[in-house]
Amino acid sequence: MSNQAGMNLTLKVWRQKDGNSKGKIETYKLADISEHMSFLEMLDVLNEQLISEGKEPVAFDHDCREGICGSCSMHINGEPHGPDRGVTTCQLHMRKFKDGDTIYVEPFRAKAFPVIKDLVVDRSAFDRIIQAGGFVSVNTSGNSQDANAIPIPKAEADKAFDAATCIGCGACVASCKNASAMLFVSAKVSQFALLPQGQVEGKERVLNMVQQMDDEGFGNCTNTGACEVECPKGISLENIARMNREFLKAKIHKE
Amino acid sequence: MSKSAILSSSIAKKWLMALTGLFLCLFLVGHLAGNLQLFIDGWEGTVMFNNYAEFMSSNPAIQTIAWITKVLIAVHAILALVLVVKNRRARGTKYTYNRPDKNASFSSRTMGWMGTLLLVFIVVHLINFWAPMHYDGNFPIQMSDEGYYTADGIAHAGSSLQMVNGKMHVFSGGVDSGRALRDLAQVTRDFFSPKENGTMALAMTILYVISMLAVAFHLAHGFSSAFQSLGINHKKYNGIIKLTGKLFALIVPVAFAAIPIYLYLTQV
Repeated sequence: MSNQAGMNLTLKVWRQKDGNSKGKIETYKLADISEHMSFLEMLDVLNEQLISEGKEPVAFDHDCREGICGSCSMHINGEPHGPDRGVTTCQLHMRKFKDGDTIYVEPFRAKAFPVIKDLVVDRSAFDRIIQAGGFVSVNTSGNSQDANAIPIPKAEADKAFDAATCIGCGACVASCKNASAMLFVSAKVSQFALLPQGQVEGKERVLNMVQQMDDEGFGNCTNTGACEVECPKGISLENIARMNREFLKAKIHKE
Repeated sequence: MSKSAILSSSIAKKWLMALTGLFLCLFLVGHLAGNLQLFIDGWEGTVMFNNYAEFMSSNPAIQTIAWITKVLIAVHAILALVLVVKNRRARGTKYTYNRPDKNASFSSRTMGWMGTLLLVFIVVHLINFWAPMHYDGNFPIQMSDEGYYTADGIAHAGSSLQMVNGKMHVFSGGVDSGRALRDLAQVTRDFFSPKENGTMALAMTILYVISMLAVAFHLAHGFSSAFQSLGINHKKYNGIIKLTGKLFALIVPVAFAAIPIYLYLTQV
């Protein structure tokens, strides 16, 4: 396809006024979309078009537009963050689509992620899971130790960092056939479980975070591995296995 | 968190599914090893298989394991049902357009369906063999020119059969020589024999083979998945676990399915 002639696309977008309304798929035609656009830019074009037609623009989450904030979501053509691998929706480019394509755009679907409007879902369940234990308590009274003073094997530090790259976008929940949040929770458990600083609150952390995850109404993991495939940050299933071990250890030890 | 909450946790359920699943994998190996004796034709096979069946249904240790197996199948199935219902609810509104094939294997996405098929098969299989063997008073008894056989595998010349307390016993010269040896080998052969069982033999052969296909898919995901659930995920061992799982999912169901196919084809 030449760079001059843009793509003609049919968009099937989920429209929903608010959390209490019933939503439905609306069809929009877009002409002359550049393959260099990001998916969000394409939606910007759609919204310009809708505004000029006097219609309500499509609401969608976005912030940094460089793949690190975890704001953008969207289930695109049957996959969270669309057909590309290792990227968020903002980093998905229209060159991944062809002229004449029909593209389905839906919000992430989970009972624990209620729709706020159109493609925007409430992912505060993740925040509450973090509040339940996704932290290390550090004494900041002026005599706190330099974190680097504790030697940590490089391999372990790397694994902890890999787990910490989770941006909490929720693609794991969206892709999972059971709407399970285990990849997210396990990444947040692992980033501390692998480090000495995380040991102090380790047992409480895994128990509380898993409890909160269950209370939020996320589903149960059946190890399909869909989350790992769709994760824009390549978070490994190894983290879920680690969380399973941490959970058992904590359960056995805890009085 | 209260202690009673241990099973309400999603991860505890995972552990239980994995442990019961792996136990049932072991059961499959044992069951298959015994059944392979059905490939031995004629009188030799009959004697070997019937004595084996007698041992399996009378040894107290085996009987205990058999009941544990039945209970664990029920636990595995009931827990799976609970999980399916919870997981459906966790999704809420379904996607209008979804491509689960893009990120997860067929076997991993169909665990519930294959498991349901297997549960139905297990019930049918028990009705076909286990129930009559244990509860049918007129179950065939192993006999030869030397007479009827008692459970200890000894033939009694000029013997006759008589029911004692709902169990068939061998009587020789009016004296009770003991419980009779049931002829499960012949019953199994006849079950898959078109001469003895008509079109039902073909129907059952097909049903058994299809059910083993369900076993194959269920194991293709279930075996290695159980290790992941138990927290065993290590670069060094993942390869061997995955490979063992795939081989297990291929060899066990193929060997099981070969039995009815063999019995059908050799008796056409």
